[in-house]
Amino acid sequence: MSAPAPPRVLAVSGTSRGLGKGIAAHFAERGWAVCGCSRSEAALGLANYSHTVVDATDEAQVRRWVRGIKQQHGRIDAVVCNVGLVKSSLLLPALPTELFQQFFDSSLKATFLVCREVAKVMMLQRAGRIVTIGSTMTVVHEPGTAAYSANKAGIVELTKVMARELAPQGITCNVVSPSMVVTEASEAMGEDWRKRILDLQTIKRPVAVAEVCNVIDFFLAPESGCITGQVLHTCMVD
Amino acid sequence: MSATDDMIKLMRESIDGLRSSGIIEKPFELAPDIVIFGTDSPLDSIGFVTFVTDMEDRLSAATGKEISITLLDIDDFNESDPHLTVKRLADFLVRISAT
Repeated sequence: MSAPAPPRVLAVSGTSRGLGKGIAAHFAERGWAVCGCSRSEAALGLANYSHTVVDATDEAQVRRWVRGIKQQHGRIDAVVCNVGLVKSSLLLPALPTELFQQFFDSSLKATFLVCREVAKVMMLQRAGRIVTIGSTMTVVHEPGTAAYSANKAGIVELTKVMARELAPQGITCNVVSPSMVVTEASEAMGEDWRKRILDLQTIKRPVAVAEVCNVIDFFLAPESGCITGQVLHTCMVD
Repeated sequence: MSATDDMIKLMRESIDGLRSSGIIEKPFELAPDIVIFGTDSPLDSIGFVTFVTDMEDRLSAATGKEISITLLDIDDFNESDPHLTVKRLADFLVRISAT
């Protein structure tokens, strides 16, 4: 009798709460070996989930986390780069540089660092799936979202360029672009904000974390090896 | 054997490994004076990046340290017109492995 195939290995960033936590749980429950990270400790109560405290804006910490996964599992089959800041912002003329920098560091810079380090591992194994998290805010150009949306749009472009660079190595790179997701962060933004954002959507309801995971499932499926450089929105006609 | 010679030996092992796994297709001799990055390099850009990544792994395993290869740290490295010989890269790798 042959030994069972080892579980596929998924790295997920930002797993202490919200969407990242939901993604980690979704794939751990489906048998993946899930390696999560966040700035704080987190536990999912699942044997095949391991957590590392990592500041994803710190190059050395990200490198150590990714190398640790490779040392433990020998490979990384997929990464979901879920990072970023969700908070209210200001119209551009009143936007403090420090706040813009916070959005940049936690969103575009962290995505770049995680993708770069994971891509190195995947290049050597000549296979892998990279999924980044965008936002439908990048297509509605909502006032007050300059810092958030500009960085999310940067993630889309980063992902498309990666997709072209890494395609010869058998690595696909795609963007999941969620509309409003039911998380603690969106709940905390208040009812007026929620109503205003939902009015911008084509399908005017928040999506569940499970619905976002369904899109990620699609990008990670073996049959999706021919799909790269794509942006898939929820609840939105682009 | 000097530290540079040892490093070139490790680089050869890396190239051999990448070639046997099909990541690098064209065979070539890793002589100290050949250009490994720049015009006339036997490696294309993706091949070179893969080689550097593999060397990071090998050096980290060999030294027990977190080795990260940043080409801009090489003295006089011109990112607009890169020209890096095997020996020059080996000398740099010896230096960062020792620190």
